[in-house]
Formats: sequence, C-alpha cells, structure tokens
Amino acid sequence: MAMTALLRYASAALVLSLMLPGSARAGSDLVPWTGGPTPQLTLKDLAGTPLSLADLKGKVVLVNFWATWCGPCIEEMPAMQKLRDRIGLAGFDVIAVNYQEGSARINDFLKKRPLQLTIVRDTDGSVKTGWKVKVFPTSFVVDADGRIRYTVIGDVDWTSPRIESQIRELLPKT
Amino acid sequence: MDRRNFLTTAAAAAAAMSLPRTGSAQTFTPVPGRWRTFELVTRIELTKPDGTPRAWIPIPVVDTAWQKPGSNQWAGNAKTMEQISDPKYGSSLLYAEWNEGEKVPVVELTSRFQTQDRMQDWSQKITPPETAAMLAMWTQPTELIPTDGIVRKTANEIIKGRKTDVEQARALYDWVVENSYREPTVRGCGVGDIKVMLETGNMGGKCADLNALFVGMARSVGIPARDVYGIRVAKSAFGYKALGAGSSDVTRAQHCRAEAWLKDYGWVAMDPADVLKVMREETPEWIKSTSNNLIVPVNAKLFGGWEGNWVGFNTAHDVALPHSKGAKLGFLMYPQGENAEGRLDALDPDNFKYRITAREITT
Repeated sequence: MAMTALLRYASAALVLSLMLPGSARAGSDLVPWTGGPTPQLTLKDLAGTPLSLADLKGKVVLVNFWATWCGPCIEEMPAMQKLRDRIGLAGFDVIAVNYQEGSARINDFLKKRPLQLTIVRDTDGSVKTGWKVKVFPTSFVVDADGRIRYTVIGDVDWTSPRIESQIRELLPKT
Repeated sequence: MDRRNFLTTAAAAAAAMSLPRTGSAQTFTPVPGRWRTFELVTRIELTKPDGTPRAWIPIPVVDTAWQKPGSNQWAGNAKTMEQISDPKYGSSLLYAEWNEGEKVPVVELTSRFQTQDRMQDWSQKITPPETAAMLAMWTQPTELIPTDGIVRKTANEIIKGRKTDVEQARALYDWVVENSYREPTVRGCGVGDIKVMLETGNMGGKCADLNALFVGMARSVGIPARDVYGIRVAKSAFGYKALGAGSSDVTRAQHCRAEAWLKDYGWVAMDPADVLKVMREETPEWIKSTSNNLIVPVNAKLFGGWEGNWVGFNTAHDVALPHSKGAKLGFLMYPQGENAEGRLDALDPDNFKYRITAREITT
C-alpha cells in the first residue's frame, strides 16, 4: 500500500470509523522501520508512576499512540490485549500512549473495557511530536535491544498469525 | 395588548423561531457601528492539585477597529498571579501558581471588552497601515501551518488565473468551504495540522483545522493571514444557533476566526469554518450545498464580515507557556493547567476543572 493511500485510510478511519461497520475495514500491515534511532519515551502511568521505554530493554514492546475519541484505536485494543496475554509479559509488553487526555477521562473509558495494558499519558503531546506521530492510531514494534523494527498507521488485527509471527521472531532467544 | 394576547404572541414567536428554516429566506447581515460591552469570567478550581499547581488563562487583548479590550481583574488563592505578555504576537495571559499542598487552588479572571459587528466595505479602498516587517511575519510558517510542499502546491492550483489578492483570497475561502467539512466528533476546536489534512485527504475538522487551512494556504501564496483565537459570548442576532453561544455558560464555546491582509483593504474578516459549521449543525440534516437558503447569506458575508458576538483573545501560534517545562501549544484558546502529573486536559473542563461565563453589560 502506498504511503499516501495508507495515510488516507488511517486518517479517514480515525474520523469516519463511527459511521463504518468495523468489519468493513481490513487491518493494516507492519511496515519495516527505516526512520532512525528510537526517540525517548518516559511518561507517567495513570497512577502517576514514571515509566521509561528504556526500562523495558530485554522485552519486545509494542508502543501504541491512541486516544479515547479515536474509533480505530479503541477497536484494536482488545486484540493488543490478546496478543500480550498470548505471548506473555516475560518477553513482550504494550505501552499505550494516550494523547493529551486527563486521567479521569481515561479511567472512565477503562471502566467500560477490561484492558490491562500499560497506559501512559502524553499530557502535552511532546512524546507524540518526538515520535513524529501524525494520525491515530500509530504503532511501533520495538525489539529487545530498544530499536524500532516496525511501524504501522491505522488499526491492526494484532491477533493475526502473520503479525504474531513477526513479533515472536523478535523475542530474545532463550 | 392584554397579558393573554401577549403570551399568545410570544408563544407564536417562539414556535416560529423553532421551525426549520431551510425553506425560508434567511438573512445574515452584520453591520458595524454598535459597540457591545461584555464581561467574561473564567474560574479555575483545580480538582487534582498535586505538586505545584499552575494555570494559564488567555486574556482578550486583540485591539482593533472591531474590538476594544477593557479591564482585567483577577482574584484567587495563588501565591503568584500575574499578567504575562508575549513579545512576538502580543498575546497575553494570566499566570497563576499555587503553593505545593494548596488543597483547593482557585483563580478567577474577569475581563471586560467591547465588540462590534464587522463588515468589509468593498467600495472603499484604503491604504492600510501595517509595516512590511509585520506583513512578513504573517506569511511565515508555524509548526502546524507549513507554507511549503503540499500546502503551497494546493494553494497555487486553487488561485491559478486569479490576479488580485481579493480574488485569490476568495478562491481559497471557496475551496475550503467546498472541499472540507465540519466534523462534530473532533475534540475541542481541532488541532490545526493542515499538512496532515492535505496529505491524508481527511478534510474534516473544526475551526482550528478549517480556518488554519485558509490561513496556511493564503500565507503560502504571499497573502498575509492569521487565525484569531477566541470565544463566542452571545447568541447570533440572526437566529443561527450554530453561530452563537447557547447560554451564558460559554465554557465550551471557543471559536477561532481568520483574517487576511488585502492590500487595498487591510485586515479583512474571513470565517469559512463557520460556513461549514452552519452547513453541518444548523439543522438536523447535513446541508451539503452552498446554494441552500440558510447557507447563501453566511457564505457571502463571512468573507469580509462577522458578528460581534465573539471576542478574540489573541493571534498567537506555537505558544510556550511561561514557567512551564511542557511542550508548546499550537495556539492558546483554552485555559491551561499543570500539576505533578503534567499538563491537564484543557478540553475536559469538568475534570480540569474550569467554567467560563459571559454576560452583556447593557447599562
């Protein structure tokens, strides 16, 4: 898929998703990362505890940028949860970076959804800017050495065998 | 007229106001000349005062032929409360900082100002006073409003064959109205990232997106232009509910307009975003034609005019909040706050929390 077309899909999905049946959209594919070094990511979680991506070295990390007003973001979150449950926290984790929303709003959102993803708050949008994220959702797969290996714009079926396989290939060999 | 007749007449008038107006002739004719005085009160009462709480409230300082700033008074229990101005854009804000441990941080800003309707007299050419340096500033890019690449390419295609700046501005205004749309689900007034809008083809947004499109494209072809960030303070005198504040509680009534500097006229009002708002929200059905009776007058008059039921705070972009280590704002239109967790969600006034009320001073 050409980048322009991908962006068109992703951004249109962002706004139009409320009007489209979820099943009408196919999930996006992971795209190998060519964008250079991994930007900084240190943010506080909903309890106010600082969390740094660097602290998770040794694990593959899915960094997902989302917001509660983003329909496709919400649609893909259960699949992220399933993937995390399936691979296990020993080698894999998800950091869901919320864009500029208050903890009250996020907690209200979580009351309606049984998610145990690690959610951190990008309160002023500086991490989104540092990661050059323009549309939601955008995700990055970071390997155990802290290098971004894949990115994807738009919602993804994280439970698809192909995507799970791509992520499992990055897990540290024991 | 006895009381019974008066009530009947009043009820009939109310019923008429609530009728769908799509089939009837509608007017929208702002006329300059009648100054109105308003008082705007912004009250912040932070609900989570962890760490050293801070707050920033925009102060209306736009001083023009259509708006006169007045007094600004503040009160509260902050250890610091001061007005701070930005030297580049001249924007101004009230900064409040509380002692750590303050349980109920409160600050209240009361601003008075005068506004009037605005309507360009196209028959009166003038030599507008503005320095070359100022005009150069209003053609510069900002972080969210680039003026090169797809923005300039799109704008150049739109103005092809249009010789004067008035014709070019009109072409850009018409293009925004015809090619973008009001998206009610967008939070707040939108972000204003016009490059992403054009690259993705996602042309839905609110005023900070839609009028920024106009501003960015105008700047990219050399027409000085700027967003004016503010808030609606009264109902529309012309019955358009989409073009006014619904009540005295204007907490969520923020709106940004635009201006273009045209060499024979000076700064001229532009608000394609409000045309799109009327199209999307004035009636239950989304009106998609600018030839609709409700749309014709606003589409015509918001190129060159607007109603004085709104106050402009400032025209600033890429705003660094003083005493904050957080990222710059694309613009300053909402109250801002910070606590130990970082920047508060300015688009969630109930949890922030803040309330803004407006009233007209008529005595």
